[in-house]
This record gives sequence, C-alpha cells and structure tokens, in this order.
Amino acid sequence: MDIFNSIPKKGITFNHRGAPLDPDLRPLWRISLILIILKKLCSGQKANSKKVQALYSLVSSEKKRNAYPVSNNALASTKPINIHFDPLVDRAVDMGIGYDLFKLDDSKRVCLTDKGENFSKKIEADSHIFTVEKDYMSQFKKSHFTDKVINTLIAGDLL
Amino acid sequence: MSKLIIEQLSIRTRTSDGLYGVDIPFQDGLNVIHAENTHGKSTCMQSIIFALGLEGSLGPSRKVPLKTALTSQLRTSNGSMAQIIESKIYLQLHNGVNRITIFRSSIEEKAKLVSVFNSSTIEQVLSNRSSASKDYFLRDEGSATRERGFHHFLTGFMNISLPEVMKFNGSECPLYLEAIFSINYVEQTRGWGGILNILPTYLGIKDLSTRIIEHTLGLEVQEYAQKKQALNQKKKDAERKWAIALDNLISIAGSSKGFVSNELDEKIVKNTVVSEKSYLYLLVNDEKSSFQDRINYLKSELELISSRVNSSQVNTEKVNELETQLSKYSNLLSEQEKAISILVSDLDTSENYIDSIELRIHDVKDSLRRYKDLVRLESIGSEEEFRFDFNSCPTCHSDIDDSLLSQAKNNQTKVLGLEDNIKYLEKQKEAFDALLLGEIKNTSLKQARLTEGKSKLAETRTLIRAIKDSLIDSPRAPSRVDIKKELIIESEIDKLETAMNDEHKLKEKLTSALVEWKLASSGLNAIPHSGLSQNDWKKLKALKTSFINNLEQFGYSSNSLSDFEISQTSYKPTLNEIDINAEASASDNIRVIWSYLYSVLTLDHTTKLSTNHLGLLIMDEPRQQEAKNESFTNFISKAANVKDMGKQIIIGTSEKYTDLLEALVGKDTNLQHFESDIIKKLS
Repeated sequence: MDIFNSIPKKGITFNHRGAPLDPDLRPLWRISLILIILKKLCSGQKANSKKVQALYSLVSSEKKRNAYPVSNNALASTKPINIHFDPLVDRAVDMGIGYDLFKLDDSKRVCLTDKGENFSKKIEADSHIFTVEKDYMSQFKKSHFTDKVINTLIAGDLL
Repeated sequence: MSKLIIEQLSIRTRTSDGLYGVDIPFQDGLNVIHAENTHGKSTCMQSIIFALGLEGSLGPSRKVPLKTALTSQLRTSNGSMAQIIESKIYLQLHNGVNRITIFRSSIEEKAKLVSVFNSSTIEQVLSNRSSASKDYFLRDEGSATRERGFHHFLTGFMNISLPEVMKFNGSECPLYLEAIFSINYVEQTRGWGGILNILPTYLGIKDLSTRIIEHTLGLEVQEYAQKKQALNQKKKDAERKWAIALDNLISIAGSSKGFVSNELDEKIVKNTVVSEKSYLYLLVNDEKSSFQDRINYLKSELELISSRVNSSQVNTEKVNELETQLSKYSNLLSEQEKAISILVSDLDTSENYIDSIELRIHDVKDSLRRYKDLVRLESIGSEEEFRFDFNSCPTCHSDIDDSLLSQAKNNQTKVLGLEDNIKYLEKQKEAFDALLLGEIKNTSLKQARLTEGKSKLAETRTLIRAIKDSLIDSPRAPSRVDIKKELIIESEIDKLETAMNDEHKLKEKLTSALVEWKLASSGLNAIPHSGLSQNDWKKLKALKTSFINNLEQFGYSSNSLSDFEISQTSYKPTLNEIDINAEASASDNIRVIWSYLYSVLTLDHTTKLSTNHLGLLIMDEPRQQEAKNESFTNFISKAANVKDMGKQIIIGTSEKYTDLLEALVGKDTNLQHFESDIIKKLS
C-alpha cells in the first residue's frame, strides 16, 4: 500500500486528550499539603499568609527540605534556600475556603475548619500518603517556626 | 475395582448400665442403614469416619468427633440416661487382597492411636482369637508420611499414592487422605450444600477441590504441569548458563581490546546457532577485523621486522629511515593526543547527560509518588463527609478545570484526569529509563575506547623513545625500534591467541547450553496447550455424558440439560460457564450432587480408564425430604448397580420404610433396618 499517497476514507481526526499537569498544580494536592502544614507545624493550627507561603515553599521542595535545617545535611546547606511567594498558594487557600476546609479568623490568619480538621486527620492516619513530607515535618516542634525563623527563611539567611 | 471395602462396623460402649453396642455388616454394592431420626444413624456413619481417623475431613477440630451418644451419655431402652465410660469402634476392611480390623477408642487420650489387626475379622478380635495388633498414631504431624502414622499405613493398604501439591505459603505437601476422602463422604447437614461442600481448607492447600478431583479422576494434567515446570526451569538454567558464558566471552574480548560480534545472540531464541567461526573482532583503524585476521597480519609484520633485525648488513639508509619514522610517529602521537582529548570531553558530556537523565527520572518518580497520593486523597475526599468536586467551583458551581492555573475553559487547556496523568508519567519514566540504559551502555563503550586509546598512545611514545635511542646507536647494531616493535607485536599475538583459545572453550559451554535449551523447548512444545492429555479429555467427556444422563434419570428440571459442561479448570459441572451451586432449586442441587459423585465413582467403569477413586461412597441422609420420591427410587436403583462394578455405596436414611422397601424390590442390596435405637444393650 502506498501510504504516502492514500487518503483515509473517513479523514484524519485528532483527539485532544488534555495536557499533563504537575501534581502540585492540582488543587487537592496543594490544599491537602497546606492542611497538614497547618496541622503539624503551626501552633493553634493557624498561620498568617506569609507563614503559609514560606512553609509551603519549604516543605514542597526536595532541595529546600535537604537544605533546611542546616545540621541535617552539611553539604547541601551551602546552597541558599530560595523561598518563593507563589500566588497559586493563595489560590489554593481561597479554594480551600470555598470547600469549607479553611477559614480566615479576625486577624486574617488561615485556620482549619472542623471539616478541614477531619480531613487532615484522615491524611495523617494514612501511612501511604505524603510520606516524605510528613517525615520531614515530624522533626520540628510546632513552636519551631516563629515569626523570626520565618523571616530568616525568607531572607535566605540560614545562620 | 474398589481400593477400600468396608465389611463390618462394630461399636462396643461400656456404660454405667452395662455393655451396649451394635454390629452392622456391609457388602459390595448398595448398603442401606434405615432407622428413624435420632435413632443413631449418623452416629454409625460418623463412627466409620472416626475409625478411619478421617475426622479431619470435616474440620480442623482436634476433639473426638463422635456424637455424645458415644462419648458422654446414652439413652437406655427405658428412656433413662446411662453414663458412658468408653466406646470402642471396630471396622473390618478389605482391599481386595487382605482383610484387616482397625480399632479406635473414644477416650480422648487413646483416640490418638489406631490399632490394626492384620488378617483378622472383628469377630476374631472381639473373641481374642486374632493375631497381635500394631498401634499407629494419628493427627500428630507426620501421620501421613511417617512409617508409624496411621494414614501412611492406610494409603499403603489401599495401594494409592498421595500426590504432592502446592500450599498457599508456597511449600509443598502431600494431598492428605483427609482431603482425598472429601469426595467419598457426604455429611448429613453441610454436606448437601454443594459438590465438595466440606473441605479441609485449614490444610492450606491451593485449589483444594480441583486437586482432589484431579487426583480422584487420575488426570494426567498435574503430571503435565509438573513436567512443564521442570522444563521451564531447565530452559531458564540453560539461559543463565548462556548468559554467564557470553559475559565471560565479552570480558575476554575486552581484555584484548576487542568485542564480541553481534552475530552471536545475546539471549537464546528459536533460531540461535553457535557457529564454528570466531566471534571475536577488534577495530583496526576504524575497520572491523577478526582476531584471526589480525594475528595473521601481525605475524607477517613480525617476519618482516625479524628479517631486518637479523640481517647483518649495515644499513646506510638507517639514519634517514629512522628520521622519517620519527616524524611519522610524532605526527601519530599528536593525532592520538588530539583524539584522546576529544574522547575525554565526549565522555564528560555523556556523564553529564547521564546525571541529567537520572535527575529527570528522580523528578518523574517524585511526581508519580505525588499522583499516587492524589488518587488516595481523592478517595478520602469522596467519602460521605467531604465530597469534594474539583470540577465545579465551590461557590458559584460553574465548571472549572482540576488545576490551579488559568481557568479559561477551552479544549486547548483541558487537563488530563488523574489516571491518565499517572499513565502519562509512567510512560515518561519508561522512556527515560530506556534512555538511561542506552546512555550507560554508550558511556561504557566510550570508556573502553579511551582506555584503548591511552594504551596506544603509550605504545607510540615507547616507539618514539626507541627511535630516538636508535639514532645515537652504532649503525651496526639492530634497530631498537624494531626490537621494541617485535616485543609489542609478539605480546599482542600472544594475547589474541589466548583469547581465541578461551573462546573455543566457552563455545563448548554455549553449545551445550543451546542444546539443553532446545531439548527443553521441544519438550515443552510436545505438551498439549490445555495441559490435558488425550485420556484426560476422554475422561472429562465421559464424566459429562454420564453426569447429564444421571441428572435426567433423577429428574433434574431447573435448567436445560444441554447447557451443562464439565469445567476444564475446576472439573466441576458448570452451567453456561458458571458454577451451578446457586442456580438450582434445593432438590435439584441434591440431584446434581448425586449425579456428580455417582459419575465420578463409576467413571473407570464407563471409560475403561483407571481412576484413583477409592470405590466407596458414604452418604448420610441423601434425600432430606427435598427430592421427589421417584427420583430417590431412581437413585437407589442406580446405586444398586455398582455391585457389578465391585464398588460400595453406604447410605443412611430415614425414608418412609414402605417406600424404601418398594424402591429396593428386586435389587441386590444389604438393607439394615432398625425399629428402635441402633445401639442397644448387649446381652
């Protein structure tokens, strides 16, 4: 068969199946991670927007996890931590509010609703999800990330 | 021919009210024990199982499985209760050649032993006229395998062998008698729930009912399966042998800077051959040359040089010649140095490339991990209390994409679903893995070339040094360059020749691996695809015909008979390819069990092919008021026919006596009718 010159009878059609997407661009993934960040790293399970941004940026990235805390991996610590402020984190928080997982308190801090609390408990109880992130977070106390620590993180000034 | 015939059951029970008991003789063919309910029929049936030590067929319990009528208290003729001290169960067995009597006590401590009286009847044993008995143990580990185990003895007596079967934990064990006997005994209550309804599943044997039927029908399929496994193992061994020999050959080629031609297959396939010629090649000036060609070339070179070295003539041209050579080798040196520096930077690039591929694979793996989290999260999120829907806005409920990025809704930005995205990532990982593998191979090749280049460079340097030395030598002396060259060539020839010798030895191994592989392969081809031999097919076909005929005679009506098949995997009857247990009415279910067990029992007679059936069928209450009387009559008359086949059926029933008598008219059967309690006071 001369495939270069033959024309299919029904014509050629292409189906667009959709574009692949990084997992951290999926609302559910990002909202869930923020949920457990609030649950495990923030006292009172609430945090201001700056803290949420900084901690999300830290916990979600393998490089940054390796670089902080310094004692964890002396070699990696020479690399500076570059904390991003990501508008998509704000978007995830907004969506989370829409799904009734987060709420904003009087001083505009993000906190967990009852539904959010229940969902975060389920995530914590499941030993198969967020294994790496949960392991990482469990080495810090809730009181570790004070405003001062967050500020030094953002400034990239680890020592 | 029956492997086990029960000739008599005797029970002797010592009670506070004196000695009770019963003697029930059995014969070939149909035996019917008839008594009203609660008169002790089932007690007698279970006593047979108990005496044979086969209570394990019914379950894992280690307690004495006898009814209380034989273990704690017994109803006396005047209605009061007598305490039981000990019940003794005697069973007289025949295997077609020998007669034995076995005895087992109901007392917990003694129940682990079975006494066997060789060539004795129960009568002789009870009157102490028998030969001495020998005790065998039961229910402890090894009862089936150790010499003093009763089931080891019993399998020997019945002249059967227990096939090895696979357990769930991967180990092997014999198909114990407890398992085999499930097809010979139908218990009164649970037994009528379906074909092989009660199985000793606690034994942990894989596909237990299939293995039991396979063994009973004497199918060769198991043998074939084992053969297949062995042949596959052989094939794998041969493949491993081939791979090891090939690896050795590659390392031999590598040590003399050569390679193995791709004419030699990496893995054995159907048309793989090991030819006489050498598979060793090396690159000379970027051209492929076999080891043998190279040796020949080097040898002629060597001859040339040695003739020059040995000639005593003073070569006046020597200095000129040396100088030309010097400039030639100096050029070569600079070329080689250049080539090596290119190779080094090339190698560096490759190594960086490998690092970057590894990084990408790492990232893809991390994304995959996150996607698997997402799937899990989604399933938690879809639970009753949460019910997230990421495809619609939580506030205004308009459609949105499952993405944090721009929400413009058109076909171009449509996002893959989770499962599709995972598939996409997995494909990506596969692609990167393949890329990595190729690049690693590439890099190691480059490394080999670099080492080779370096050694050639060193060679050139030595030659240049030698030329320089020769230039200041006396003109009469033989050229140092020639001598050096001679040495280099000699050592190369030596290396190549050793490699070829080694190749010869390895080729023998390759050939033997190939022969083994082909033998195993043709053996595998000879095994029929379904695993069933011709005789197996005959048996299954006959089983189906006989099963359907019987069903018809017993009045099965739930489904059309032509829809029945015998499954080639479970060997049980199926209806439109599903198991029939749940399909039929209760009475038809009983007809199915009758038909199937009867067909299995008589299969050797219908096919004239031998089976491993013990030739014995014990059924407790085979009607239970479910099936119609005429069906039962048909079944009884069929069952009576087995006498001519040398088989035995024992039935316990509480059917209306007059009906039973009518059914048995003109049949050669052994009817044991009891008006009152079967176990009575003995005078």
